[in-house]
Amino acid sequence: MKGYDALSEPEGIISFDPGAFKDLRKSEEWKYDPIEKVEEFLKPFQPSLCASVRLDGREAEEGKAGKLLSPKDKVEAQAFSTLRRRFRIEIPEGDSRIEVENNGEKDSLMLSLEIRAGQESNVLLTFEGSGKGIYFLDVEAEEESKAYLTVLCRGEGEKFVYDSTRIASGARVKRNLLCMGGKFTRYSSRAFFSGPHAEAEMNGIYFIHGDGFAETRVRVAHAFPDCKSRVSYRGALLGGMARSAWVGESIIGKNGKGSDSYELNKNFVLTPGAKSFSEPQLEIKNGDILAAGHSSSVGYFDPNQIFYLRSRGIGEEEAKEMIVSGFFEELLSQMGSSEAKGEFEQFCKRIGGFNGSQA
Amino acid sequence: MAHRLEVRDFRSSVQTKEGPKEILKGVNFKASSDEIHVLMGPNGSGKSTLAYSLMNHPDYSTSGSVKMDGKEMELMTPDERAKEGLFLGMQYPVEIPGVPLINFLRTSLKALKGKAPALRSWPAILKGYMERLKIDPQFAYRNVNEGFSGGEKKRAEILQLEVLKPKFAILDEIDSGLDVDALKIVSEGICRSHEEGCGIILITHYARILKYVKPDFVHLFYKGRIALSGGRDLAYKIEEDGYDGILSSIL
Repeated sequence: MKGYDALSEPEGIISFDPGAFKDLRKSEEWKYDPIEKVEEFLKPFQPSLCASVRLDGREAEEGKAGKLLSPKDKVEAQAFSTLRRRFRIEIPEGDSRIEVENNGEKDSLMLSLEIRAGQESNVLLTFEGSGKGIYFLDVEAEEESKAYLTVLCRGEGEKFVYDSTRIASGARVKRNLLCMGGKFTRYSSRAFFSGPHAEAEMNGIYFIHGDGFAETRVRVAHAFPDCKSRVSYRGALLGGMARSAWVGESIIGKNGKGSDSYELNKNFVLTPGAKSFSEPQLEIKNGDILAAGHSSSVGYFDPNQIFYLRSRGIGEEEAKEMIVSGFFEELLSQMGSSEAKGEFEQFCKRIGGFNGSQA
Repeated sequence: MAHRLEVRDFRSSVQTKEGPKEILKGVNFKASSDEIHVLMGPNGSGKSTLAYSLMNHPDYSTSGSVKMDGKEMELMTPDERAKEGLFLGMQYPVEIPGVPLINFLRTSLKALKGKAPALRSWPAILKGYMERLKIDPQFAYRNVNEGFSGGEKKRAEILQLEVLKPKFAILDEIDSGLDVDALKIVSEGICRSHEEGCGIILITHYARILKYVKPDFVHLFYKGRIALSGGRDLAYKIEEDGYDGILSSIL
């Protein structure tokens, strides 16, 4: 594979053989996950073929595809071994919309999105429905292309998404992810540069309520010179049993001279009892970089902010709504995606308020 | 008709590791909205505690009576007190990330007056207020107090005072950290609000603001209560003799 570098692969076991992996319960990578919620994914299953894939409203055609990086966990390897449907989608210039919907039995499929050299595309990809699923997403941004990809994870069905993005020389990828609600979502992103002077901007918002869980993992590998990556994720947890985990890895290899990398994760715990885990990691293997940094926080409502707004006549509930909306607004405006903004607003209406005392 | 603010036997405690610590030890004063009151006192005497406690900041437990036009507010939340017409201009206003000033003030007006200003005309109305305080109109689109300098934050507090038009404003060290020009601008804003009927309770360390804001009463605050009250002259006497000088003659 052109531009392939060992850096693009996570450390630890890498195999297409599910048997090569140890029990998830003993795995460092699964330490945050409520495994009891997804026990059924630990056994091999035949995909139900229930999920539909539509491109701009029309049924997408199956095709040979797949440059998936080697699986790094049992769930991924198992799902890959029984994978029956692969969709190869040549993304057109301009706007396009891909909808993956599963309201039936457990399913798995793979999407390969190809953005041709020099092309500029804006893609909205939605995963929705009450059905459970494991989805592989492979994005190839060729030389000098510009790809703006907004991914919306909706619906109650438990979801695993394994997303790998290759960014060729001079290309720019901006990926916005929104995981709103849902019982269980595990979204793993791997982005790597396959040429110099490329850029990746990986933004994400997760909002967990009730007893939901979301884990977002993002790994950016700088194996070529003069590439830039920005990772910015924000999350909020509403409900005493809500749980989130974020793991960000930025790895700058020996050849990644002039790399510029920053990752940021901020979490807002709205209800006592909710738990948010944040784990930024940075590994630099050469001393000739432009910049590299990370920042991570988990916080509660600031009573002084609430007091300030209330001293201006704004009720407690509305004050909290303003603070939470403001917290996300900073990232939403950076995303610059009207779909992402709309999705967030719809979700806020659905849950009807951010009162921290809400269970 | 002038409004009345009456504070009687007002006490306030803060929780410490050693247990509750009483800061305000029975404050009594009456103010009318056609008056300007100035509160001066040494550091740690409880002036800011009084300001925040009157607005019911959650850090303080209070007792006593705070009445607005005869209506008891002691059990009211901060937003309920704001709706009764009380305003607190803060010494260190907090930042509210992601919330533009223009939206915040519109929400606040809606909460206080029951009706938000029309979306179409609101930017021009706010711009008019900002120009009077020589605030760059672009600040309306910045997040509340975010990236504002110390002086800009103080001007933004006065902007809110002028927009929200309360019955009484407690202004906690609104003059600290201001250069001479900003002090004049802020003072003019305070005077405009007063002329429009807002009673002013100004907490300050310096008599220099009194060149522009002419008080009717000056109170010397000491150890959690008002130790001495007088007219404008008291402020100049404090400046001249210092707190120790005055306090030694009365205690």
